Amino acid sequence: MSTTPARFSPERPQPGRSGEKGALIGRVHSWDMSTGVDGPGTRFVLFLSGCPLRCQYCQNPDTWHMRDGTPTTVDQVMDDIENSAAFLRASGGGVTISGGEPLLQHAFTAEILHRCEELGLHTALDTSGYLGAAADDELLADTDLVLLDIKSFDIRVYEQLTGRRLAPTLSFAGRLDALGIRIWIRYVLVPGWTDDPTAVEGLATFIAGLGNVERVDVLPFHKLGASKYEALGLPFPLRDTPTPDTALVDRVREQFRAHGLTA
Amino acid sequence: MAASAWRASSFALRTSWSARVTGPAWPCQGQPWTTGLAVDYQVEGEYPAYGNNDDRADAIAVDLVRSFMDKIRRHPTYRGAIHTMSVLTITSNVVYGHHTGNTPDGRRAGTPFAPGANPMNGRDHHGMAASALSVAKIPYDQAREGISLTNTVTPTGLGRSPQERIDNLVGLLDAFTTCGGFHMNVNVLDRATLEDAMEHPENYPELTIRVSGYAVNFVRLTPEQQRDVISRTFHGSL
Repeated sequence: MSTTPARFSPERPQPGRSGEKGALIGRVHSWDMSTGVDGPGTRFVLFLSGCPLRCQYCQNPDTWHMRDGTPTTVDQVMDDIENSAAFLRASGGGVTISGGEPLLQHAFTAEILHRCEELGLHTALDTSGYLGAAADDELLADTDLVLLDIKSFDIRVYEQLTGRRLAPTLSFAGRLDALGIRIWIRYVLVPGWTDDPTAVEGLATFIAGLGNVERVDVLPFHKLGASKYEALGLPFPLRDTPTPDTALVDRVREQFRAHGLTA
Repeated sequence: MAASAWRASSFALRTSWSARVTGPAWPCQGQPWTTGLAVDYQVEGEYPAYGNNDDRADAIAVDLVRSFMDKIRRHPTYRGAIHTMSVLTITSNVVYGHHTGNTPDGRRAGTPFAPGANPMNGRDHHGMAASALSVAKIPYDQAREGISLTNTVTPTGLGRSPQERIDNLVGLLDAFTTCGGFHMNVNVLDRATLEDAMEHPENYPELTIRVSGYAVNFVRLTPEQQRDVISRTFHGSL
């Protein structure tokens, strides 16, 4: 029987294999291996704790606070990634850093992206872009793909929906375009919140103006996170909001397609 | 066949040992005037479980397959035949489970074991690929009759467009075999389809699903086996 590697357990001290940066500590919520939803192929998805947004439809309220995450070193995360690296490569996949908001812990995120690049793994960053300014060019040089979640194109709706401003996200999108980093846009479709044809049209026009957007994923709002709110003793704000029907999803996808986008 | 039956017993031990070795599971002794054997266990806290690409648990499965095969090899065979073992159950995991008491991992008496080399239902917390990586560690040279992993995914769990789903599934199979996996059965269907087939078997005379190595006609399974198939982890994503 072989000895067993550390798995995000803070009580196992590990010397940093790549010097100080390997010993960098982040707050980790969990990890998952998924196919077809968080970037190309099968991916190791690392969920970091902490998010500056409070989206009304958030499906993971358990990732809001950094303090709730498990303190974990870069080396500990890399142990698990290296364990599945052969699988990830052969499947045409890679590593996605998600959250929460991964740019809230940008130094930790940057180091993991860098180590993944060194391993020759495809890297993706799943972000709202609100903290895009925290991602320096070095971090972005180690990022192959950004999954950019634009919650709404109407500045007032964006603020009501998330509690934050839209502008940083749009300027981050522009910066990614200038740097030539590929983007997959994610758009959560919530009836009564993000289905307004004018706002969708505005977003489609904006996205079509960027040169680096490969596709737009229209994600139908769902309520699978409701039980998490219950467990946390929090009210789920959109409890009574209906999920979109197929016709609405098709209409919105068609709006993006009309601008020559893959949706 | 005998080896197959023995295998199931050894894997029952595997799930138990995972709890015994790495997390506290206290045996509750039966009444002394009956058997004196442990009849139940109290599990405290969490323990690493097979099916999550975690060597702490997976190494136990690997060790059991190796040590058990070593024991089998000590027996002389008819006309010098080569010893083999399989890690697959077809649907007999339900029957084996039926005859096995409470296990220290929290599994209740009589409930089914996992099919083939699969992790127990609901124990794999990191997705289909992570459970496949655990199964891929079981050494094929110790189980040349086959090591079977059965996965059920919803179409959307593989990607958005039909072509993307095909590419992603091909990628998954390539990755599994690259990592030493031997045999993966994949059912791509919705849970609702199976539930409807239980209700209205007359509408699904040819509904074939893969169960741990064999294609079986779903509507000819017993209701208990049908429920077992349905309650297995549906690896779907939204």
